[in-house]
Amino acid sequence: MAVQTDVVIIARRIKELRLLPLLSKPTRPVPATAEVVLLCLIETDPPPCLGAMLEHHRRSLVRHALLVVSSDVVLDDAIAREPTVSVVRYDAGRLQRRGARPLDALNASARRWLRDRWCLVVAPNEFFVHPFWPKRRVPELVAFLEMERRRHLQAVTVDLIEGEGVEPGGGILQPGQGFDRAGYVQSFWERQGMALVQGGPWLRGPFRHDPARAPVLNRTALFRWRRNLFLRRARADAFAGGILAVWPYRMMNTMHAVEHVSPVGALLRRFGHTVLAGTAPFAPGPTTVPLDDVSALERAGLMTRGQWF
Amino acid sequence: MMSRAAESPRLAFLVLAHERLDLVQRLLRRLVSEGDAAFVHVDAKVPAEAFAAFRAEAERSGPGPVTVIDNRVRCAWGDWSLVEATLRLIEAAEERVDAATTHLYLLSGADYPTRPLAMLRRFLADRPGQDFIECVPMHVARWNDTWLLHERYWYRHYFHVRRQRRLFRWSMRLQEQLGLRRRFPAGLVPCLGSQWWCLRRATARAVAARLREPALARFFRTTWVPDELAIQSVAHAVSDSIANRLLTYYEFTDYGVPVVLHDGQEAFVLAQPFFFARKLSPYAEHLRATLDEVFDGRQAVDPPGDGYGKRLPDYERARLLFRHGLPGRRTLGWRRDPWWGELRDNTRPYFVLAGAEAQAEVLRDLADALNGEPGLLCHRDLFNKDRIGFAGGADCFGPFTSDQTAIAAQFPERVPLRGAGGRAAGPRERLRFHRWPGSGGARTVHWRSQRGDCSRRGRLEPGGQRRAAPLQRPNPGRGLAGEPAGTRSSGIRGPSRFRCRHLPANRTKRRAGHKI
Repeated sequence: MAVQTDVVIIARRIKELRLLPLLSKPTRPVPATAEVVLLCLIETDPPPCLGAMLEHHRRSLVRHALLVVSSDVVLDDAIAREPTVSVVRYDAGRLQRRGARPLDALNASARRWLRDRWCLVVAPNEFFVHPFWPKRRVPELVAFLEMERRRHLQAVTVDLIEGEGVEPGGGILQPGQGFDRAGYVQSFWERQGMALVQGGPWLRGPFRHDPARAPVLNRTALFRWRRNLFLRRARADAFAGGILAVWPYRMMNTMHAVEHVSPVGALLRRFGHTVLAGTAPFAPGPTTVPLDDVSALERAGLMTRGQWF
Repeated sequence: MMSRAAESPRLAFLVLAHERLDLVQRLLRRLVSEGDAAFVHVDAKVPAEAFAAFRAEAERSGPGPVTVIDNRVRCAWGDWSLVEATLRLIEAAEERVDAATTHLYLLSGADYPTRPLAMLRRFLADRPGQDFIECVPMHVARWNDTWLLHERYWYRHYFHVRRQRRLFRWSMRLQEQLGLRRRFPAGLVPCLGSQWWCLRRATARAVAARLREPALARFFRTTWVPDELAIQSVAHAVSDSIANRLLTYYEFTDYGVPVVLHDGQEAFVLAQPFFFARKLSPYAEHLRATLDEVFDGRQAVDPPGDGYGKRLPDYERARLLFRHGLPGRRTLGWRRDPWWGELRDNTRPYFVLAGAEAQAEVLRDLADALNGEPGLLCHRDLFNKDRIGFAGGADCFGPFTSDQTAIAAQFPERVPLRGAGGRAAGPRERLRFHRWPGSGGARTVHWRSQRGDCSRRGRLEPGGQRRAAPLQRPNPGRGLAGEPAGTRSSGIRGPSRFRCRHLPANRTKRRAGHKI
C-alpha cells in the first residue's frame, strides 16, 4: 500500500510539473509576512459576492489571496488590482487537451508558490468562519493549531438559505438569511479514519430519497501546505457536480480526536449549487433558523471549538 | 519597626522578550510608568537591526529606567538558555538598581498587567518577607502532567525533545539501561514550578550566585526543561519564606504550552486574582485596551486579597469538557457521540417496544401514557414511510427532522432508528422508542386502552445482570441540542432488556441495547 501511495504521489508531482508551463506568473508575489494565504480556484464566472468574500477574509487577517483563474473567466479589474490579491491564470483549453483538470492547476500553483504556508482553501462563494469569530482572527486560530501540533482544520460547509432582500454582493450575516440547524448525518469510515458529514438542504431537496449520495459537506479548509499534499475532489460517488471539495491527501480529512476534540470551522456558502436553486426560500421554522450570529452554528453542533479556550 | 523599604516596596522588572517587540515596548511603558526599573533580554534570534531599533526606543520609555542588555542568548523552549538569560537579567539588575529596590519580578514579553502597580506595591508591603515562586517538591506532588518527573534530572538530556525527539528518547533509554542515574545536588530538593516569579532582591541574588557555581550549572544544563527546575530548586533552598503562589496568571494546555488569552476574555482575566496575565495574543487589542483602563484606574478592579494566586476553575472545566466531546451534544468528529454515532454508543438509557399491526392501538396508548410520565420520552412510528413520529409530534429532534424518512431506511446504523433484532422494521411492525429515567429501576406505567375493554397496567422492568455495572457511570446530564425541554436523562447506560407484560411473549423483543 505504501508503495502504491508513493507511486501516486510521484505521478501527481510529475503531472503538476508538466502543468507549470500552462500557468502564468502571479500578478504580484505572495508576501512572506502573510501568515495565512487564501487560495481560491475560479473556474467559471465568479459570483457577485467574490469581492465580499475577499473582504470578509481580509478582516479575519487573511492578508493575501492567491486566485487561480481560468483563462476563460473575466475577472473584475477592481479585484485584480487589489494589492492583497495575486492572480494566476491557467490556460483552460490546453489544460483540457492534456487531460488535466482545473484542480490540478490549483495544486500546481500552491505547490509552486505556497509551500510551507498556511492556506485557507475556499470556493468563490464560501466564507470561512470559526469559533469565536469575529473576535478572534484566523492567525490566532493557526497559532492554536500549531500549538496543538495539528496541521489542518476541518470545516463543514453550511449552505445559506436566502430570502428576499438579501444583497447578492453582500457578505454573510445579512437579514433574511438562514441555515439548516438540523438534518445532518455524520458517519465514519473506520479504516480510513474519516468522518463524513452529509445533510442540510441537500437532504431536504434533491437527495431526499437517496441520502447516501448526498454531497459530503466536510473538508479540510485550513492547512499548512506540505510537499506531499494535494487537493482532490470529494468522494467520487458523492455527487460529482460542480462543488469544489478539496481534500489534502493522506488522511488530512480526518476529524478524529487523538487526545481531545479537534476544533472544526464552518464554510458558509452563498448561492449554492444550481441543484439547490429549487429549494424553498428562507422561512424561519424548526429546522431552518436565521443566521444572526455565527455562534448559532456552534450551538447547532456544526462548529466545534475543541479546547480552544 | 518596619523599614522604609518594606513599607513601600520598589520593583525591578525583568523581561524576557522573544518576538513582537512592538508589544514588548507597550508593556515596558506600563512597567516603568511609576518610576520602577525594567531590564530586558531580547532573544538573539531577533535580527540586529530590529534589536537596535527596539533598544533605542525602549530606553526612552521613561520615567523609570529601561536597560536592554547587550549580551543576548539564543533562546529555545526547554533549554538552559532561558535560565541563562534570566541569570544575566538578575546580574544586570544587581549592578544597576538602587538600594531601595526590594523585589525583582520576572515577566515575559507577552504578559500584561491586570491590576495597577500601586495595588501590587500595597500587596507586597503587606507581605514583606515572602518570595512568590512556585516550588513544588517532586516527592510531595506532581506540578504538572508531563511524562517525565524524576527523569528530568536523573538522566543527561543532550538532545532537544521537540527537534530531536528520537534521539532524546534513545539517549534516555540508553542511560536507563546502563544505570547512569544521577543524584540531585547535595543540599537541594528537586522542585518544579513555573518559570515566572517575583523574588525578593536578596533571594534573587543568592539564587544567581548559586547557579553560577560551575558544578551546579553543569548539572542543570543537562536537565530537562531547566527553567522549571533550576531556579525553583535553588530558591527552595536559599529562601526562608516561600509563598508557593504566583502573582502571574497562566494556564497550561494538554500539550504543556501556555494558554493564549484573546479578545472577549476581558472579564475572565480580570476575575483572576493575579497581578499579571500570561500570555496575551498579539492580536488581542481590545483585551490590552481594557487592561490599560484598569491599569490607569479608569476601570475599577478588586484587589486579589487572601485568595491571590488561586485560579478560577473556568479553564479547567472547559478543558475537561472538550477532552471527550460535550456530553449529550453533537460534537463533530467525535466518534462516540450519542446521536451522531451508532446506537451502541448511546450513553442514554432507552427501551425499544415493538409490536404487530394488530396491537397498534395498544402501543399508541402506551406511548401516550409514557409521554405523560415525568422524565420519559416516547417516540412513535419511527419507520413510518411518510413522517417520523417524534415525541410530541415535533418536526425536529436533535439533529434529525421528521421528514427525513429516507435516512431512517438508509442509515439505520447511524441514527438511533433501527429495527429490532438488527434489521429494519417490517411494514407490519410499529416501534416505540423512549428513554428510561434516571432511577434505573422498574417502573409501573398505567394507561387506558382506547378499545375500552379494561384499564391496563404495565410494568417496565430493566432486567438482566448487564445493567449493574453501567449504573456506576458518571452522569453526563445534559440535554440534546434541539431536544425538547424537560427530557433530560441520566448517564446510566440503558437497561439491556425490557419486559412489557401486555404484549404477547412471542411479539416482545428482548434485546440488549447495543445489539438492537
